[in-house]
Amino acid sequence: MTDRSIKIILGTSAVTGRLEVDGGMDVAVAGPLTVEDRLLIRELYARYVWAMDSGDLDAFVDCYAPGGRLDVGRSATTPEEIRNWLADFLKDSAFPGSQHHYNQFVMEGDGRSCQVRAYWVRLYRLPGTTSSQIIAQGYYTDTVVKVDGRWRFLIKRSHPAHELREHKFGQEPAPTPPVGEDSLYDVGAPLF
Amino acid sequence: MGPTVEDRLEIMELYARSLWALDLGDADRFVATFTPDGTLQMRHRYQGREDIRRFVELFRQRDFGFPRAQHLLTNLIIEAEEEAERCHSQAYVTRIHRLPGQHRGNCQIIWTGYCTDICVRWERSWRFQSRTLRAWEGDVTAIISSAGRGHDREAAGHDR
Repeated sequence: MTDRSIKIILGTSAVTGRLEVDGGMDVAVAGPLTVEDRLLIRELYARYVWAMDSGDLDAFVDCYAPGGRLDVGRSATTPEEIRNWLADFLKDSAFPGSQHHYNQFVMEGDGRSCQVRAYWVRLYRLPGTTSSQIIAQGYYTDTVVKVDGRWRFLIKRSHPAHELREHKFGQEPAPTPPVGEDSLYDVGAPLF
Repeated sequence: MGPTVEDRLEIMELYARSLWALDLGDADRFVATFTPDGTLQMRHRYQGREDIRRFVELFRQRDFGFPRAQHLLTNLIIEAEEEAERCHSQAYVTRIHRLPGQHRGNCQIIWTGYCTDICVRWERSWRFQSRTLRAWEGDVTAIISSAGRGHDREAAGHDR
């Protein structure tokens, strides 16, 4: 890449500039994780559970990046498997009526890839009442990536709450997405 | 183009102000989170600030959970309309009630639902033009088929 001519086009922010390489492809430069990124990542989690708890299979799958992986109970590594995972999960006796809630977000990464851990709690609305009970709790250790300007899950991994005592945060270094014309991500190769 | 960071944070705080006011029975502050023609749809519909004020007063006098309950708001999604100063927002709403006493386990979840709202910028601040709160049942979960329910989640390998 260093042999190719590179034209730098600055965006509205010094940290979100873009590169245009010979082939005309734009890739985002990996700036720091911004406040806006953090808000949009939180909103990704909100969209994810709205889709899950209301049974919207398309919206659920859409929360995953190409090549995204789900490791919750069993693994799903293709859009079809992820769709089937949710379809199966919705047969759970606590659906409909379940709500998942996230909080205590910790995010570490940059403007193209980020590791996130967060608590989750699952509530179940008891039929015929207004009351709910907490029926499960745990935490996620996920990797999210920015694809076409949108944050999506590359890896989603759930853990039961007791693993917290063992400090099993389960996080691995985020994989480096491919760079070049085959790239599906705003990968942002090093400038020089 | 979505709402700006500042807009998002202001709308998040609008929700916080609204729920603080409601849980404390503060009609003035609750009403102030609405535009003058704002609407609140719960079991009944309240239109305009005086009507919404009436709701808060009834809530304070008659609601079984008051004054020992708190509303929690999570999973907030904010989407801007083409008109930059108008957003749709939706979130989960949970109400937790604290029973008298200091013993453990004295808090119960007494309501789970969701809100679908319209926020607008009015006099330089974000306010609710309409709020709708519904229980987590009915249309919102209608897609989930009742066929096949009763599946044991542990057998399915899910703990979540």
